[in-house]
Amino acid sequence: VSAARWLPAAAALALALVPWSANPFYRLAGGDGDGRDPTFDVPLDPSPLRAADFPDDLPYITEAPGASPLAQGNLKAAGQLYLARQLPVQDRRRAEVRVQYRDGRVVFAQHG
Amino acid sequence: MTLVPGVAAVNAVFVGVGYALLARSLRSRSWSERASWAGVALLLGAGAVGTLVFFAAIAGVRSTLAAAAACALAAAAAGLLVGFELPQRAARPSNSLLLGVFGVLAAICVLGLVGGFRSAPWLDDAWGIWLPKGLALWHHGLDERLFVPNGEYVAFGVPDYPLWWSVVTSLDVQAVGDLDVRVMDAQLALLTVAFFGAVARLLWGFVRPEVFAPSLLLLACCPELWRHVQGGIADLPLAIYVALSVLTTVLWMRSRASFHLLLGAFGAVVALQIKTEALPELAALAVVGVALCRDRRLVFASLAALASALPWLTWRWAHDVPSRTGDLDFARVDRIPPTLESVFGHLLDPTEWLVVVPLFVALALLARRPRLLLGPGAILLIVVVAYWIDRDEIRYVLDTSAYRVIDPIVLTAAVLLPLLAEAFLQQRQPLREDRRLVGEP
Repeated sequence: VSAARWLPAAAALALALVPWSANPFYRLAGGDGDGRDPTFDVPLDPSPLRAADFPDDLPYITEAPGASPLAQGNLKAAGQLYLARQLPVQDRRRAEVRVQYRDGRVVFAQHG
Repeated sequence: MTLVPGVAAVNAVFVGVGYALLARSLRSRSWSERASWAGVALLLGAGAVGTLVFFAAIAGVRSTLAAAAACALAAAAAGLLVGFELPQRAARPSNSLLLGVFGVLAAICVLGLVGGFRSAPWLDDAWGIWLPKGLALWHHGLDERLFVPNGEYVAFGVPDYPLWWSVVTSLDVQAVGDLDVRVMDAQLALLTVAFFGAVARLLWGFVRPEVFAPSLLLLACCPELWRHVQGGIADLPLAIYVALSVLTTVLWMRSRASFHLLLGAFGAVVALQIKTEALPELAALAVVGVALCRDRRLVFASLAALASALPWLTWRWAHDVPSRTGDLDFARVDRIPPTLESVFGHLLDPTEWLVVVPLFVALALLARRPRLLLGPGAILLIVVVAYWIDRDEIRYVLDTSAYRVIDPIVLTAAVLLPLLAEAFLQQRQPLREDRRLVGEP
């Protein structure tokens, strides 16, 4: 097998390592990979949501008073992603847990 | 399990189911030839299991690993009962340069796979809608409290979309054993690499390897392809199965092999379970296909495939899931120019899809095969009409979706490209021989 045969493959791999190319290959060849959490559009630490241990089917509501619509949307989506065993409700009075967004932090407020 | 073993395990089952579906057809083939069908097997298995689990969800079964295992066993058992004659045509890579092209293609696919496993989807729809729906199917089933807009619970967005992509990524999360959004990109990378393998396998013998290898390399080098893989975008699996359907149907028009016709119908069935727009796109493709070949078998296969949309449509109808089709406006023709500008801008931008689409058009004309333009053209027509009659603000919907709803157009053009190149080269061959006979250079 001629070494020249593998030259194009070697060239492609070498290109992937060019640091200023900012291509997807460099992203995987030279940088840290992404984590297991989504890349949110707003500052949002999902750790409390991931660690939450609520009963199945527990009704909850997400609240981000004063936050941008983008933050409200991200919090709602994060709830549906991490609290998939529970049920998001629209009426605050029916919720047994309120998932609140405060300056990038997620906090829980129990009913009442 | 962690990310890599979990996703690998799910896909090993998919490959196993795919090979079971091919088992009788591959019975007398060599091991190396059987291995070459791995890409087709993965797409078959993922398509079959995902579709059956989705149908089971419509019937009230939660989308758990146990349900998926039962569906996998059922699909594999059904596959072991049927066998089709595989079209067999010999072809062998002829030179070391060609092997180099395959080597680069393989290297790019490996890099794409690594990138898929290392990246979280950048599109918020992926982790904000598609995956949460899959997790809800796992924990609650197809529960109308979550899947039908109501005044009591917070329902998911785009409730009219089918759920194949949600089901498949949910199975990955369950196998991994931890919520990890990277499963979406990893799964998409595996499907994309399988797609390259499947297209090469299916074209083998119909197109010379020295013709289809550079064509596939051109697609593999498209920056937008791997960007979409790393976006977790549902449009990409839709495009993969639409392109698979179109390619095998065009091959069937040449081979008349039942295997090609069935694979074409199968690709359409899976595509219909991925996104809503698959229905008008595949209906348009069926009309084009039937008009081109006027064969009753294609009519029946198309109708059977389109009928697979009925379970989801029936569930939507029975549960009053709102659809945008009742809210369409044909009067605003001023939406057409910006639509054309945006869609063609993405299709022709060399920094997105290189020259896949312009090359496809040029070769269709040069090879005197303009009828093949009708395939991607039919999908393009549906995309343009969809933007025209939609009611959302045109600039917003174009900016947020035009770059990805063209995926089925691009991938369909990409898989037809080698067939056109082969036709063009074959037409040139006798011309060169004639010139040699009369002493012209």
